[in-house]
Amino acid sequence: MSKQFQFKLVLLGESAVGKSSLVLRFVKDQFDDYRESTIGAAFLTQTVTLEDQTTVKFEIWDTAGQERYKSLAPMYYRNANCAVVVYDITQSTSLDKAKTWIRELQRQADPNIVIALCGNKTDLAARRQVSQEEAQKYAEEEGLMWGETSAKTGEGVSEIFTAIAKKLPLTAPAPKTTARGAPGSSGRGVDLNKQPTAGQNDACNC
Amino acid sequence: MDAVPAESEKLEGIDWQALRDVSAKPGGLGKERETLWPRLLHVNPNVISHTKPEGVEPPESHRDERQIKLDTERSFVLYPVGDPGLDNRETLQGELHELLVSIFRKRRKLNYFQGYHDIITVLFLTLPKEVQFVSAEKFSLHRLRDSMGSSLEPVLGQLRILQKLMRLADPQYAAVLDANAPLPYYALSNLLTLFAHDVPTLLLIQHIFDYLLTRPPIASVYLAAAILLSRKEEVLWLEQEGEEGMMHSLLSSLPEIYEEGDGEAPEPCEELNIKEEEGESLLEETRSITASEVEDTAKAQSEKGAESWEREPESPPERPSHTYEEPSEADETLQAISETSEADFSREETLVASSPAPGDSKEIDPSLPKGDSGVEVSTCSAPPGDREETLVQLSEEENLNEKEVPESRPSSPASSVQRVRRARVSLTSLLNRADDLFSLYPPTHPDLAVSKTMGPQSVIFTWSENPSDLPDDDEAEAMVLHPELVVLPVVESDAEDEEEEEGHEKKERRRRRKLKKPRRFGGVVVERRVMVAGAVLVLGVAMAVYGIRAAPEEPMSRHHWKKLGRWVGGVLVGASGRILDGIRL
Repeated sequence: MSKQFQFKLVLLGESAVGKSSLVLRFVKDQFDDYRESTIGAAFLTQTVTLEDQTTVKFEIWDTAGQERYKSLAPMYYRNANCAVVVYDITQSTSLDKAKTWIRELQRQADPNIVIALCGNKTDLAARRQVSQEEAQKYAEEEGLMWGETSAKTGEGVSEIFTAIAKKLPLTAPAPKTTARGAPGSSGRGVDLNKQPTAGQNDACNC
Repeated sequence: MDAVPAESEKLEGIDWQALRDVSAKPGGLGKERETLWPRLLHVNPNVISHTKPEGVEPPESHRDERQIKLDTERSFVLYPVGDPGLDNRETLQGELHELLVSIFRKRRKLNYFQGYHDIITVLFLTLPKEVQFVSAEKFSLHRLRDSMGSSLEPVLGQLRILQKLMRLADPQYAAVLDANAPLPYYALSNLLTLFAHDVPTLLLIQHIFDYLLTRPPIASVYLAAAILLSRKEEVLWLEQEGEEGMMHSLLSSLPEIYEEGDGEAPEPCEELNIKEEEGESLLEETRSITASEVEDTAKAQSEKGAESWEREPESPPERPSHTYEEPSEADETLQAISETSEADFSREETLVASSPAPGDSKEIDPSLPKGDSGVEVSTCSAPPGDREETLVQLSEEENLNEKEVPESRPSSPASSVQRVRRARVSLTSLLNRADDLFSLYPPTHPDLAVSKTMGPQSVIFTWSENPSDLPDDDEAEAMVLHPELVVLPVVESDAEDEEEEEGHEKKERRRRRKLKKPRRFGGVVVERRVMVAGAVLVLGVAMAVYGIRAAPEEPMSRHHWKKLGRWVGGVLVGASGRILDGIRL
């Protein structure tokens, strides 16, 4: 039987950089031109299967971008195995904000957390304000994964999550029961492995 | 709209109770809301004509305008989509943006929060243009103000009250919820946006606003509780799966709410709102396991349980087998309701499968993997035993079908086989339920600890049916600068859990409390007694500060002191109770 992992992933980043859209693309392969702002946080899951048949189920917490919701963020990144910090390549200030999040994660989150820096909206490359070189250099200095995506076209989206999935079990072997909310409550005769929903999604992306 | 000045003489004479009654009935205030909302918001009709945003708007922009722009640019997503005559989204966005900016430029101390635009959108789409600004201003200053300070703390205070209310209304269910989240964060957007962010259609949210605006600001907490109670069955199933995240997902979305009298017959086994997809899949799976046991209790208790959701005297009962019984003995009755509602639900759901709420269709994505044919059968009509079989089979299939992400989504139907309806409730039943909760556990109920949670400058305490009892607009605006008087420090998570226990097992509990506490609040079981003492101290300080602030304005201060006196009285009684309690331990 192939190995199965379950990881908690948190999305952080400035308002309107496309966090929810990125997840929506990843989880449902959809895109809405108009995506409502997220209030509080949304939860979704998606499973990826790697070449060796290892499956990685992401439990994704998509957070609200506005500064005033910042105080809630620790709740979501506290036990996260990985974080995708998103910026908008057409907004240089959003990279600054991403850096702030990364610093916070480096200080406060699990030391083993895998952090991916993600430049979204490559479909708007004509208005690019953040060069690939700049972002990539920063990511290298900080030891982060880095990639660019377009939630709109889908470009790079599954790649970045798959890359995280590949990196995760190596750096933080997590049995699939890790990071569960309610310990001991998974009994009841249903094997979580067989959840018909793994690989599915949900979307309460407000 | 021209009715507004005409009715101005009646401004002081709002018959709140009558309007409350109407607001809780199907259709709510109906077209009347155009004239009633401004009055309920205490808009002075004489001011309307000359309070034009242009006239009051200082040229300087407000610090939150960038965020406002980001949010209005993605507004009007749900409604009025498809509403003829209101289809120019960009025009609407522009006008909404203008309205929002004019409010913040006039009331510069207020802070914009994401979701505020959802609330104002409802006013914008409901009220005549000339009263939009003044209504939004009053709304903001006297009802939404708590959320318009610089932090999220006040709404977290409301979440704490909600948590306590749930513990009173249904201790067992509340314990499940508490085990999953230290606070009901999933209700954050409900409380923050007064449901405007989450309700799928304009008519429904207008009706909800009818309900809320005819009641004190805390009514939103009761409505949120009524909604949470309607999800009990779903939650209990999820709980067995230990899906913390799914629980959040489930509860941060609304049940399927429908307006009675829309002539909308429930259509069995309609596709679900995608927001729920995974949660419901899980539910379905667990349902198969528990359905038969639940069924048994359901038989015995269904009638009892029905009343919690089915108080719909106005319309033909959807499920005729259930009769409504007036909840009478406060705790006991509710207790009984909550115990049985779970069971009841499962029965009802087999009878009445879900269909999207009006306007919901927007959220139903036809491109989603369907593949639920097998389950459709089981969900809707198969007896529990059959369901189980189908489900097990499907889940295995699903496993086989799991693939690398890109392919797995649209192309593997089996991965989404499970589809279950959400709880489907009529809006009036929710509103009535909220009213029942309010009468059973009014804000003055000591176990709600409202006065120990919110500060004296919270809208919960400053709002009044009588406009002359309200703080004046400038004073109200300035209150956001003192968050410490809006919400009290978070000592509550400890004291509160004590209270919760009280509702929980009233009798034998006192001795065992100490042992039980850690179970729920693992890391948070801090020195309760010290913290309570701290709270009292803080209150003292708050009173002093408040007294000084209020002193110069004679009439205002007298009025406020009266109120404050009530409030402080409650706090001190409550707090000393806590202290004594602590000592006893």
